[in-house]
Amino acid sequence: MHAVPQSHLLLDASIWPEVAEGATPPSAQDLVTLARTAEEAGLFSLSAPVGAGHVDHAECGIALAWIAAQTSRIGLISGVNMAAEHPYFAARRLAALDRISGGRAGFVLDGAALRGTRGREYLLLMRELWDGWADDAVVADKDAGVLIAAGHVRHTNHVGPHFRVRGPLPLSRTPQGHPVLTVEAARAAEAEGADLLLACGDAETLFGLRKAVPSGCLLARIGLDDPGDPLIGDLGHDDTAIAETLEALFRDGILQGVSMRWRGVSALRRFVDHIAPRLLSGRPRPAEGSLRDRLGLSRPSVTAADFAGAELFQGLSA
Amino acid sequence: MSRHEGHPHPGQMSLNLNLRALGFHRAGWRHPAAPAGSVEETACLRDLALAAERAKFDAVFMGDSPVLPAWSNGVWPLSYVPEPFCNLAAIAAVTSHIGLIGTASTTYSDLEALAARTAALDWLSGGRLGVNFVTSAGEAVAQNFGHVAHPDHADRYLRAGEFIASILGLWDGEGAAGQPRRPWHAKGRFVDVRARLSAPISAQRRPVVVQAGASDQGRDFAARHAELVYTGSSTLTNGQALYRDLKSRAAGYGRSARALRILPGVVPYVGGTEAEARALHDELEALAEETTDPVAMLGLHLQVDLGAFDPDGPLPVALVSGVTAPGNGVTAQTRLIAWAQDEGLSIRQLAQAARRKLGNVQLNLIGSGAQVADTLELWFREGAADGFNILPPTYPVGADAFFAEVVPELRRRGLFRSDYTDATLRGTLGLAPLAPLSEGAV
Repeated sequence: MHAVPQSHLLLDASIWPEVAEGATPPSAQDLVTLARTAEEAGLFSLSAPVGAGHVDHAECGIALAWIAAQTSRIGLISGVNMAAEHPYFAARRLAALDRISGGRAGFVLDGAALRGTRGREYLLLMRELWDGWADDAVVADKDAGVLIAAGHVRHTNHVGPHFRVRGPLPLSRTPQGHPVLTVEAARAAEAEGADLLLACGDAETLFGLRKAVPSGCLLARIGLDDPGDPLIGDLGHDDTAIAETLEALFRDGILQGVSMRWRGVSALRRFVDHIAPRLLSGRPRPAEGSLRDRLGLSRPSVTAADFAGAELFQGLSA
Repeated sequence: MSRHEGHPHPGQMSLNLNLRALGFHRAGWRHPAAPAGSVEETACLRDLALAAERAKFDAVFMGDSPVLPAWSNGVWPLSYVPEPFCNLAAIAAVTSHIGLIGTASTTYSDLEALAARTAALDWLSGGRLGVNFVTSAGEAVAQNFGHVAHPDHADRYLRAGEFIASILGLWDGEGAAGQPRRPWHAKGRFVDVRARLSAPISAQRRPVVVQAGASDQGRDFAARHAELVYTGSSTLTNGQALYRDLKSRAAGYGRSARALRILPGVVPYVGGTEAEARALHDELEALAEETTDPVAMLGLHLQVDLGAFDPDGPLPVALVSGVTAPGNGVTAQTRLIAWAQDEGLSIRQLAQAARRKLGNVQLNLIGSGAQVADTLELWFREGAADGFNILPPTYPVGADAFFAEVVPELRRRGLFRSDYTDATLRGTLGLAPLAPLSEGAV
């Protein structure tokens, strides 16, 4: 399992409501208020999913870049529409989000899309693109007139059954190197190296998943105003009981956090105002720094030595 | 003059700031005042946008091509952009009036994903987005998307036409601002999309359409679709000819002269006095001279390794002519060979001349605030421009000098606004408000 101190609880919330009667997405200004409130309450991240399960008012990457400029600590986890977006563009905008947010970017891949060979190749290719620049490639030596060090940028030269991409990205390595990867726990095998795992189910199901998938932080997806939620649906509006149920699962090491879904914005406020404080009280806030830092994950490093044998990007060096 | 009539402030020009943290002079990043390592810095781009908003500019602009270019404006990749729309979203969050213009490729962008992203940013920013559509030349770009060669020019523009028509359909809706968009289906030779964008109709209904192609097809495309056109002309006569050509082509499509605003690019070297401006220019030229090998650059430009030839000997014309120039590089190759032959230049002499002159399609202005304002006023009054796209040679001093010396001078002459009167980009540019599109596919 990842070296996440048990005292840290990862609380995530969606920025968009689930599909439900009368569910209305927040306005542009409401979105900022929501994000700042969540950050103030100590939430680990906000998620902007793609797909049919929610109603939104803005494409996920744009909404999160807009929020990034108006927050300073909270993580920003973007959905990826693997069917509609070429991996070159997806890798590029996720890297840009990481840069804009100072290392707070994550991404969530859809389980169904990961099932085939295309999904795995998609993820591999994004990682190859993120590794195209050595960490120390940008030298910006004004006196010597050297902006980018020779031999520190490589072509990606990815050739697979679904994609052919020469690369590199027009973007140097970002604060985290790789944004934090989130997938459904049941798909962990298809997404090697997933950092956060999402699961929906009762305590027994979660326990089974935790045993089956030993690495990665497990987050239970809970629907706070969903009476059919398998974990907390029976508890209704009893915030104390909900917090105690979750607390027991954290204590037993089954869960490392929760990802909160909601239908009405009042449920989101309930979570932020009443449940999150109960869960977080008495626990130290996670360390400052990137999302990876806060998860205790190392940053995958890339040096020019890693490019031995690769086709180097030929610029015109001074 | 009649040509500016219809604009709410007919005597006033539009000003855009082209955002590139490294500046537009090839040694701009080496200026002592330039922030070190600013190549992709979010904070640097944000501060420039804030300064442009304080100066009441119409918009900030980010060019783009989805590739790391090996050759650009004579230097190792200096012009690459991390990603335009994420950066503009971050800028939108800290500004309130200035327009935000990003660039997208009609050849390689995923139509539905781009439509969704741009509609989202237009909505979040309160109707301040413009999208500059480019067809993206060059094999290097093609190879990022699984193509061995770049699609030919004609196919690129056919696809671009379908792309624009489809995105306009996706962007629009029948209701008022704030209402949902409609489902839209577009099908053509290159495009097949069926979607309803989730972002509500923005305060300006949809993003402003921007274009910058200079070829015959590019101009036709601009005349037909664009509301804002970036051009490059280095003399008043050329500028006037291009301006007339674009406006008359637009009239041929039944569009009024006020339906598109034409903004030539200007690289301003500004000082308190002409001498100060010249000193800035010379300082940057000297910095560029120090470290770059002009012969190697010329070779890269011509796609021929010139290292094997005597730099003081003649250009191997037969070899150079045999190379197929990439995409839009034909013009440059022809010009270089003609120079070398007409003036009997050695490889070295040609390389030095080329570095000074090639790629200089923009108007370079060196002078005091009043002198630079004189030229801008002349172009504006004599039918060569509706405004300008400002490309500061170096940040921050190149931009700051323009804001401090030129903008107040333009204001004194009544040529530029002293405050915003509109909240949307379309309004700020003086373009007519939009009615909803009618039903129909491509």
